[in-house]
Parts: sequence; structure tokens; C-alpha cells
Amino acid sequence: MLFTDLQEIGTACLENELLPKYIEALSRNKDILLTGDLHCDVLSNNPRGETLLSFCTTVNATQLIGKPTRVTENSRSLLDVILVSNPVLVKSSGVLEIATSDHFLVHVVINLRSPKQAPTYIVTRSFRNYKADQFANDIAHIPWETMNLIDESVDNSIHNI
Amino acid sequence: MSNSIVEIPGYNVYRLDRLGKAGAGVCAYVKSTLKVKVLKDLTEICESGLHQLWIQVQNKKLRSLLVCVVYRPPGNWNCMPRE
Repeated sequence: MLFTDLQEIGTACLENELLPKYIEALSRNKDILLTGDLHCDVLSNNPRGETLLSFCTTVNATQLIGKPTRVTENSRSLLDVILVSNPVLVKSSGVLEIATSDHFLVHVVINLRSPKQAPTYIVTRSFRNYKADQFANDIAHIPWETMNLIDESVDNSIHNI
Repeated sequence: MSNSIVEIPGYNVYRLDRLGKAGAGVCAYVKSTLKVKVLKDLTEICESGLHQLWIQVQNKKLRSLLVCVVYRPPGNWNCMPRE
């Protein structure tokens, strides 16, 4: 019980020290990428891991790493995390199991280019070669009396559009 | 410790050293073609030992991104609010 209390004290800095800075960073309207070792294993159920995951929930960040980053003979823990505020930017992420340190290397590839929008087509009339007198002439030659032949119900439905 | 010891060619290093202690601190290596601004008002090492290095990174004219490198030592120090 005492051990649990101590652990909670240890990670209190996430709420007391990291959270205010993160919120300040959010207010700058930029995408945020946070990475490092917070000594909170998010792979197993433990108070530290839960504290970090609850931090993610609080700031609406996504934790990208899903595999252990520190493996010893008798432990596998996920300590090195990458948090992103906008997971849409993430192209790929993962763990490189290289042995230059007792921790593996975590990586993320992000794409900051805004996605190209699919082209939309519009139909429009070009007035580049518009000649007012010819247009008036065309209008004058339309047999407007045929309008009377259009069914009244059609007429009404046009009004209802 | 001078930057020349930790330099990687083609990258700029941004360091947050823990003063008065050897072997602590965090840093960020950023490709030298990227524009970087260290956000000094956000960057700090707290009493608890929590390190936060905040930088703003921009590639060409693309939108910039805030990157935070964090480290929390494995101990159980309490985080007392600063007066």
C-alpha cells in the first residue's frame, strides 16, 4: 500500500509540472509531439502507466508506441513513449531494436503536408465572348407561348424547390 | 561539456543540461536544414527531476510543430509546487 502511494507521488509531476506546460503549448495552436522516458510502463497495469495514460486522455493525445522498449532477462517494459496531439499526421511509428543502449530506439514519421484535396468540378457559363445584343436577339426568338403547354403541376414543383 | 563532444554532422544539438549533476539532461538532435526555436518559457527541469525541452521545428514553409523531449528519473521524488 505504501509502495503504491510512493509511486503516485513519483508521477505527480506529470500533473503538476508537465500538464501546465503542455496546456500552454496547446494554446499556441500547433501540433505537438512529446517523446521521452517518463519511467511509466504503459504495457502492464500499474499506477505509473495508468498515470501516463490518464495524462494522454486529459490532453487528448495519442500514445503511438505499442511494443516494449526496454527488455531485460526478466522484464519487458514500455518506457519510451511518443505522444502526438494529432494522430492524422503520423505516417508510421515503431521501435527499432538496436543495442546501443539499454533502451530501444522509438521512431515516428510524420507528414506535415496538408492532404491534397480531390478536384471538384463546377459547371459555369463563360461570359468571355458574351454579346449583349445577340443574347437579347436569342431571347426574343424563343417561342415563349409554349410555356403554356407545361403542366401546372410541374410548374408548382419548380416553385417548391 | 561542450557541444563538440556530442556533435553529429548535419544535425544541430539542443541541450537541456542538469546543472551541477553529471550524466543528466536531455537533448534534441535536429537536421540542420530545419528551422528550430527553443521555447525557453516552457523548457525547464523541475524540482522533481522532470526534464522538459520544448522546441518549435519548421521544415521550409510547412506548418511548424512543437516537439517536447521529456525525461523523468525513476525515483519517487515529490513534485512540490514552486512558490
